[in-house]
Order: sequence, then C-alpha cells, then structure tokens
Amino acid sequence: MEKILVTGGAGFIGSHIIDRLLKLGNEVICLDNFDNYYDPSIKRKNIHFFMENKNFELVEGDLRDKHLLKNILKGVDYVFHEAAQAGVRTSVTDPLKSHDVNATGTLNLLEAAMDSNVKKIINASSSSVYGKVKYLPFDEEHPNQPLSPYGVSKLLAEHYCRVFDELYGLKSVSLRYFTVYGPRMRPDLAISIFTRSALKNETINIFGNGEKTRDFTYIDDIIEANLICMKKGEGVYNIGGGHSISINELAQKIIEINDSKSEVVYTSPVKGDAEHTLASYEKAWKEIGWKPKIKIDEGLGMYSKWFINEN
Amino acid sequence: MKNKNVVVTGGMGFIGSHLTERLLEDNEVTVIDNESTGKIENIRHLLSHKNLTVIQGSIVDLNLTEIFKGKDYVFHLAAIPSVPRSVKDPFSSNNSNVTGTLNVLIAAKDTGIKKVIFSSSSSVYGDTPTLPKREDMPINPMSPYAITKATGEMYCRVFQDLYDLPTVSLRYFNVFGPRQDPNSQYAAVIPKFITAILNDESPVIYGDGEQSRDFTSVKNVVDANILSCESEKTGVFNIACGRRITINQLVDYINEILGKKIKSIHAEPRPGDIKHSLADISRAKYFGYNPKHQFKNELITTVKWFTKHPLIKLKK
Repeated sequence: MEKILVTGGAGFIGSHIIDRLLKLGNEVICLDNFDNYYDPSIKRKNIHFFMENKNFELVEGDLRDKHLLKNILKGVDYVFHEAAQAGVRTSVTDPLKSHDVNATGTLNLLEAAMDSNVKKIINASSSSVYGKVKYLPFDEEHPNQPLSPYGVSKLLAEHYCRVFDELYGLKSVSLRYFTVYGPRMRPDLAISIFTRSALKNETINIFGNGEKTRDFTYIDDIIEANLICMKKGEGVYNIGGGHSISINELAQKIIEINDSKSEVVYTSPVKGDAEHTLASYEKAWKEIGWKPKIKIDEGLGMYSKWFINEN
Repeated sequence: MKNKNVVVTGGMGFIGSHLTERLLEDNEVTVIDNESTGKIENIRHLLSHKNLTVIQGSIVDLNLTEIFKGKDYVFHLAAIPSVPRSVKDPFSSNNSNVTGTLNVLIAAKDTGIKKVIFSSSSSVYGDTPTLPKREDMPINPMSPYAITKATGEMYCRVFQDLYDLPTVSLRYFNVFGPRQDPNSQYAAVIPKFITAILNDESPVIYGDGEQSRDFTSVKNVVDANILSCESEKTGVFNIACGRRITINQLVDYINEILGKKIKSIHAEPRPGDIKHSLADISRAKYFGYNPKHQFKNELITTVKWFTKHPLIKLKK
C-alpha cells in the first residue's frame, strides 16, 4: 500500500490510473484544476465513483502552484504525472499556455518533489516529441524535431525529468504515449469526434486528405505501462500500439463498427500536426516487459460499446 | 546593416552591449534589459546617442508587442547565462530563457518582425565525444541551461514553420572579450582568470585543466548576428573559430601576456560542465561569417581592457 499522487487525475488517462491504483489498495491523491479546455463536468464524472473511497483524496489545484505541490507531496511515494495542457492544435493558437503548464508545471513538480521523499515520477510524455519523420517506426533514438509548441513543451518536460534524475537523483521515467484512445477519452480527439458523428449518421470531417497515419494506443495498454514503471524502468519508453492506420482508414473502421451511414468530407489541413507516427516498443518490451495487447479493431469496438452506453 | 529599427534584448549584457554599440553606428536601436546580469555601465558611453532607446525591464513581464511594433529585427540575447547557475536554479533559467524566448517569438510574429536572431549555445551538444560539433549532429543538452537553449532553438524553428517568422539560432562557443563580468560566482573563465592573474591570485581550475574550449571573440559574435540577419538564410549555425585550447594553455597565455608566472590551483569538476568543445563553422559561411578576430590578438585586447578597468565593486 503506497501513497500516490496522480496529477491531472480527473482527466482521461489520470482517472483510469487512479481506478487501478485504488483497486490495488493504494492511497491516492488526485490533483486537478478542472481546466475548461474540455467540459469540466466530464472530469467530475470521471472521478465521481472515487469520491466515496476513503483512500481517495481530491485536491483541486494547479500544477503551477509550487506551494500547493510541496504540501501535497508530503509522504507521497510515487507520482503519476498526467496533468497537462493537452492538444497539439490548441498549442498552435496558445503556445504560452502549453509551455506554462507542460514544461514549467513539470519543473514545479520536480522541484517540489526534491524536498520530499518521492521515490519516482512517472511522466506522461508524447509521440509528438519526435515530429519530423526520419524513419519509421520511431525508436527512442529517433531525432526529436517537434512540429508544434505542444511537442516542444513535452520534450522540455522530459529533459527536465532527465536532468533532475542525473543531477539530483530524483528518479523518473518518461512514457511517450502514442495517441491514446478508449473509454473516457477527450472529446476533442478524432476517435471521439468520428464516433459521435457516426452514431448520429452525421458527416465525418477530416482535416487534410486523410493520409496522415497514427499509431493509436488503447487506454488499458497505457495503464499497464504506467503501473509496471512504478517499480521498473528508467529513461524514456515509447508506449504505442505498434501498428498504424491512416485517418481515412480510421473513419471507415468507425463507420463500419457503428453501422453508420456517415459520409466523409475533407477540409483544410491543420498546422502543427505530425505526418506519421508509429512506435517501436522493443525497448519497453526488453527493459520492462511491456508490450501492447489491444489492436485497433478491438479497441474501437470496446470504445464504441462504452460510448453508446454513456450517451 | 543600415537605417533599420532593431531591438536588442539583453542589450546591457556583455555580448548585447557590443552588438548594440555596433548597430548604433547606422541604425535605431531599442535595448531591453532587466539588469539581472547586464549592467547600465556597459552602455553608459552610448546613452546620449539619439538613436538609442533603453527599456529597463524583463522579457518575461514587459508588453513586448507594444515595443516591437514598427521594428524590423529582433536580436534576442536576453537570458540567464551560465551552466552552473542553471544547475543551482533551473527554475529561473526556465523562466528567463524559455518563457522569455516564447514571449519574444509570440510578440515578433504578432508584429510582423522580419527576422529574429536567437543567441543559442554550444552547450546543446553535450558531452558526446565526437569533434568537431556539426549542426546536424543529434543534440544532447546536459544542464538546465543547455536545455533551455535547445528549447529556444526548437521554438524558433516551430515559429518559423507554423507562423512564417524567419529565425536564426546562433550557437556561440565560449564567447570572451572586454566587459565580460569577472565578478559573479558564475563568471566565465577568461575574465575570471585575467582578473585573478592581474591580482597575483591563483586561478582556480575545475578539473585537471585539460578540458578545451573553442573560445570566440565577441567581435566575431557581433559580426555573426549582423550578417545572419542581413542574409536570407535561416536555421541553426555554430559561431566559433574552429580551433580549441585547453584551460591550462589559457592560463599560460594570460601569464605570457602579463609577464607573470602565476600557478593555477585545481578543484573538483563541476556538475553539468562539458569536457571538450570545438566547432565546425562551415555552415555559418553560408551567410558570410568568417572569424576574422583571432584568439591570441583578441585575448591581448581583452587583457588590456581588464588592466585598464580593474575589478569595481558595484553599489546595489
């Protein structure tokens, strides 16, 4: 039984992590500022069932509040750091916010953790740190040329984690998530948007020509990786599905799975988006014994079932 | 560069003051500096110049959009310098060097600035053994300072790609020259050692002294800023001489110039410090850079300057 802080714990990934941690009998502190990047009531819903649990504590606060962080870190053994200003596209319109929350916020966390007895920080990083494709699949040695302010801020957070480990001995591991999806996923992402449209037989809107490819990773695989990394692993690991499909293919799959009559329409491409992502998970498999278990078809099916149930 | 209206952030600093001085010859210059390491003393001799505007403040707090309106170029030098300082206080380095740079880039793109020249650092290369360093090598920033510089470069590139703001990032290799601060605990090696030897004190070398640097005169750096701004070229460029000397050799040269025989003492190597540094400068030649100011001559000039301007304790 450990005492664990999950930042961004009311969010998509954070709340899933908390779910598992509580089931395993740990004491969990959830830090979230209920930012309105997407509907805060979704976040409240995410943690609704935890509120009754005596091992769960909700702290409403901001990563950028150093003083608060110092206080809540007292007696904490592990930190799952999921809090962020998510969204590549939003970072293009507001690069400062992405930097403030993702990089400076993480630096705050690291500094506050230095004075506590935190054993390890498991940092949520992103495939967007790779950016410009030199070769596929990406392995962890692939050069980092982020294409968006979001990608830069996530890379900076990784660097800070690494430096705090190297210079001050604060252990951490950074997990590069490849487009995570699944129950409770953010409403601004392609899979949720397409599913919503498909179920209403409304037009599915694709930015660009749909030929960009993505390695989608199901939430359960992400959770597994996080839990393993409490006791194993250091440095950075790709946590990806290990297979990729184009946005066109994604739209077709979602239409099929949901028996939809939706048509696809193409609009202008969005700046800052990566062209392609595809993870090599060899390093994670070799060093921490993790590999993805759920392929896209199965994952989309489970997501669809959940979505219908919720709405 | 003539008849332009430019901003120099960090213009009261060591490098910034030299750049400001040269630019003022033919342009209108606005200096922004919060004097955290820069000093008004460095530009005192320029203050009466009609084409100089000085704004005392931080790039983190000021309304840069207002200041940049109607200007042509921004030379962005403002930062908290020093690798060891960033190891002690990564938070301030992040604030000044990254948040500050982002503020500069955002204001530049919002006001139609034609080009931003960003002062970066050779420390982004880290301690990989391959020499000389070439711009296409993978970077490996080891200290918080190096990380903030590498990130500044990335933001420059992203702003260029996303918002069509032309940027140049110049990776300086150990700049030295008159006005470099010898005082602070984070002072660079050349002013520190010149001052020590002038005062007959032993210079303190961290490590065995066989570590090497590609020392570059501030005059070369000023040239690089102006040339890169005038050219069409964008991207990342090493600015150095393409030669290196060891710290032990540096002590010998300074002793030679001053006709002294002061012995150095050795202390533990500092965390975050890099062992060897040497640049390949062929890329900067694309915009006409040429390190015309050679090390030995510039070291003599610098020693002469420090001899004429002995250590002054500043009143705060």
